[in-house]
This record gives sequence, structure tokens and C-alpha cells, in this order.
Amino acid sequence: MDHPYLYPLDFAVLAAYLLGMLAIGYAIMRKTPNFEEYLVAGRSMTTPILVCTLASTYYGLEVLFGTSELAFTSGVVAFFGYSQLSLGVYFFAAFALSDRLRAAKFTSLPEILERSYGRTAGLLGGLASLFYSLPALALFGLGRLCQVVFGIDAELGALLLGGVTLLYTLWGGLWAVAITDTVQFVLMCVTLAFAIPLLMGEMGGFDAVEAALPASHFAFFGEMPLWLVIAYMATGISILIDPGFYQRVFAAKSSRQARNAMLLSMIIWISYDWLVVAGGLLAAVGVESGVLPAALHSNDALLTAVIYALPAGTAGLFLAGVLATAMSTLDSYSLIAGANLSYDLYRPLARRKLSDRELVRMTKLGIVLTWTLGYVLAYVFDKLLALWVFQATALTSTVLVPIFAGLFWKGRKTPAACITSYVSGLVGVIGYYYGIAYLGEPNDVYGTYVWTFTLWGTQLELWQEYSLYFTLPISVLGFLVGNCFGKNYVPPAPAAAVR
Amino acid sequence: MNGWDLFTWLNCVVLAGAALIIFCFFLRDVGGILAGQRRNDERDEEAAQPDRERARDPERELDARAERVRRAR
Repeated sequence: MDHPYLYPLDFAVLAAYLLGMLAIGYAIMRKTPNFEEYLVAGRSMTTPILVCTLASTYYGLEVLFGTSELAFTSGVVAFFGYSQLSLGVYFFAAFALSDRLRAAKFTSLPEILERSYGRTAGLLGGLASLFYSLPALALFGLGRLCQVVFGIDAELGALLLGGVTLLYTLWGGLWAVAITDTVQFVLMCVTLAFAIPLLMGEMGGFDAVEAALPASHFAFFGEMPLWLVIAYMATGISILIDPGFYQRVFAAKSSRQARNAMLLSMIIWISYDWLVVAGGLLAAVGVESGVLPAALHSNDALLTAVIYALPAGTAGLFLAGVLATAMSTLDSYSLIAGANLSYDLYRPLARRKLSDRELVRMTKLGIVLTWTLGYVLAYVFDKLLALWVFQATALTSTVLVPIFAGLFWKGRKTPAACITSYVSGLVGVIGYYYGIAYLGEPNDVYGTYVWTFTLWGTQLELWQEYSLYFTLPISVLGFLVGNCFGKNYVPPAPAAAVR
Repeated sequence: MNGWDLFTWLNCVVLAGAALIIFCFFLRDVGGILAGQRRNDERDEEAAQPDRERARDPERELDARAERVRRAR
């Protein structure tokens, strides 16, 4: 037992939570589910389930620990600058995308490319989505949590807790993921909403925060340069091509239910973000006043402060909520990556009609394979956060333009347009990353590279995180050039294209 | 009370309240979901049943088909 503030009752609560997740997965398991039910829950999800699964999937450990860390070191900018700017993109997604996606009855994100530009485009989309959905970061986060809280080896912890997640995902597909997400969502939200007032009581509320921390901690945009503010805002763009978001819209009973779920999720996200930020600020006061250890790592600040403030048993419940945050992200992306292997890569290459049973079997095999690959990556690759940023940037740079053109552009669209857009975006992102790493200097605080140079007497900085400013226009240009070649793609009859 | 305290309390109420209300609606829906799943199971069973019977008793199946043809005439 590594943590001084945990009691046996807390561990009992955690064990009950893990057994509960397995029990839900087992109860939902069906002997012979068809593929549509396994992957998109029979397209029958209602608003409450969609809210729970959307909110819990998007909020992983990086929000809980990353945002609270930023609040601990820099203040309320973590809320006003980092978290809230991207909500505009979510708002756009709720209104512009839900109708179009739900009406076309797609099954996966790469299928949009397949139906708009043909088989090769679908295969390329499948590869990009698979690369993005590999659950390396989520497994690494679970392992790190085990190490910090329970004092067990991170690799073993990820294997055990990730194994529980793998089992229930295999058993029940999206229904198991969504129903466990629902329980996890309630745990995440209620335990945080319960813990923060107790922490406020322990630390003396925001009067103590204002007295202990510098005034710059209360500047809405802190000392962030405008470019960085825009770069953070641009992180929200990733939802526009996130396979997890698309899968949930495909699984909705109707587009109205999907739109309502997104709007309600935004309210949940705003409140959740603020409480995480408040937790980071209160933890900083705890360190200043000597209640918490002076050597407390900023990344562990929220967790340590909350466990300190909570009574026995409820700390276990909060930790179950933290585990839930990680597991709800892991299960969703494992399922998506498995389906990318079976539905988006194996099915088109097999060149024959696969039965539902075969597709479900291949998806389960895909889940196990991609989970294993994610696990290996998590413990072989040492710059995991940088890898995750690269995964998201690569997917956005390659498929965002062809997907939006496929969904909204009514004019001529050729397969060559999609392929040149995809390839130019990919070459652009790899070139940019290597270029900045070659020309710039490593920044250990953010785990990235920054190239500082002088142009017309002004000193400028280029971060690896700015790559979308360059790669998205390159991808648009690639699309326009490629669209001049080849014939307009006419999709085959719906029966052949849609399962 | 400090304005930040008030904002924090407001968000606690919104987050916990919204989570619990949504969970209640989920409980309302989950009955229908599980019932739908049971119905699907039963439908699968029913779909599989005639095949099994036919395999067991082809004569009875032929008689039934002859009866249907007679009724249709």
C-alpha cells in the first residue's frame, strides 16, 4: 500500500467497482450478436446513454491530471484558455454533423471515405483511424495510476486493470462499453462534485487561494501568447474526425438524440473542467500552507489533495471514479481499433461478403491485437504524450479534408483528390515534425520541440504543436490538385455499400 | 462568500445533479434496452426453430406444406 491516506475500506470499494464492471460486461454478453449490434449498439442509443458515453470517453486521465497540473502551476488559465475555447468546435459538431452522419447510416469513420471515394480511400482511412485509436496512452495512464496509488509495478497494473477493460469490451461490444461508461460517468462526476467542497473546507476556500497564490493565477488567459491560445483552441478540431465521436453518432437512435446528447455533454464538461481546475488551485494552497508535501509533483497534486480531504471509504470511491475516467477511454478506443482492423481493413481486402458472425469474430480478434500493440507501445515508447499529439495531428491532417468534402461538397470528387489530400497531409505532418525536431531545441516541460528564429527583426517560435496551421492548408491544396485528375466517383448501389 | 467559491459550488451542484438526473433517465431506458435485447434473442430462437424441426421431421414439414397449398386452393 503506497498511499498514506488510504484505508482497507477504500481498497474494498475499488475491488467492488472492478468486479461490478466485469459483472455488467458478462450480463450484457449475448451468444450471437450481429455486427451492427456489437459495433453500433443496433443504432438504438438514447440521449441519456449517449451523454454518459460521450462525456466519459472524452474525459480521460489527461484532463483530470493534465488540466489540474496546469491549474496548479499557472492558475485559472487552465479553464478559460485551455479547456473552454475548444467548446465552439463541439457546438459546430452538434449542429452540422449529427444530422448528416446519422441519416447516411455509416458504420465507421473510414466508411465515409469508402463511400465517397472508393475502396483505396477507405483502406487509407482505416489505417489512419487505427493508428489514432491504439490505446497506448490510456494503458500507460492506468499503469501510472497503479504505481502512484497502490505502489505496484506500472506494467503489471496496466495489465491487470487493462485486462478487466479488455474482457468486458470483448464480451459485450458497444453495449457493454456504453453501460459501463454510464456507471463510470456517474462515479466520475459525483465523486468529484463531492470531493471538491470537502477540499475547499480543508484548505480554507478561495479566500485562502487568493491569499496564497500570485495574482497571475487569476488572469483569465494568464501569460499565454495569442498563438498558443489559438493552438489550444485548435485542439478541439480533433473531435471533427474523432472515431469515438462518430461511432456514438452512428449508434444514436436519431440525429436529434445525438445533438441533444452533445449539447448536454458540453454542460457536463464545463462543470467538470472547472472542478478539476479548482482542485489544482486548492492543492497548490495545500502545498503553500504545508498541509501537503512540499515536493508534491504537480501531476499528482489533485489526486493527493482529494484523497487527503476525503473520509475513509469515499477516497476509494473517488479512486474508482479516477479508474473509471481511464477505463471509459480505453474500452471505447479498443473497440474502435478492433473494428478498424476487421470492418475497415479486412472486409474490403477479403473481397467477399462476410457474415455477421465472421465480422464479430474478426472484431474481437482485432480488439485483442490492438490492445496488445497499445500495451507494447505504452512501455517501449518513452515520449508517449508526444506520440499521442502526433497521432491526433496525423489523423486530422490526413482525413479531415476528404471527409468534410465527402459529407458537404456536392460537386465533383475523384478518388485521386482523396489520395493526394491524404498523402500530402501525411508527408506534411511528418516533414514538419522532423523539421522542427532537427532545427529546434527540446522543451522538457512540455515534452516537445521548439524552433526559435528571427524574421524581419522579430523573434518567432514554432512549436511542433502548430503543425495543423501548415498541414491542413497543404491537405486542402492536395485535394484541389488531385481533384483535377481522374473521374468523378460514383458509389455503387446502396445494398453493396451499406451493410 | 467569495465569488470563486460560489462558482465552484454552482458547478458542484450542476455536475452532481446532472449526473444523477441523467442516470435516472438511463435507468428508465435500460429496461427497454434489455427487453429489446431479450426480444431479439427470442426472435433469433424462433428463426432457428423451424430449420431444426425441418431437419428432424421432413415428413411433417411436407404434410404442413401440402395443407397450406390445399387451404390456398
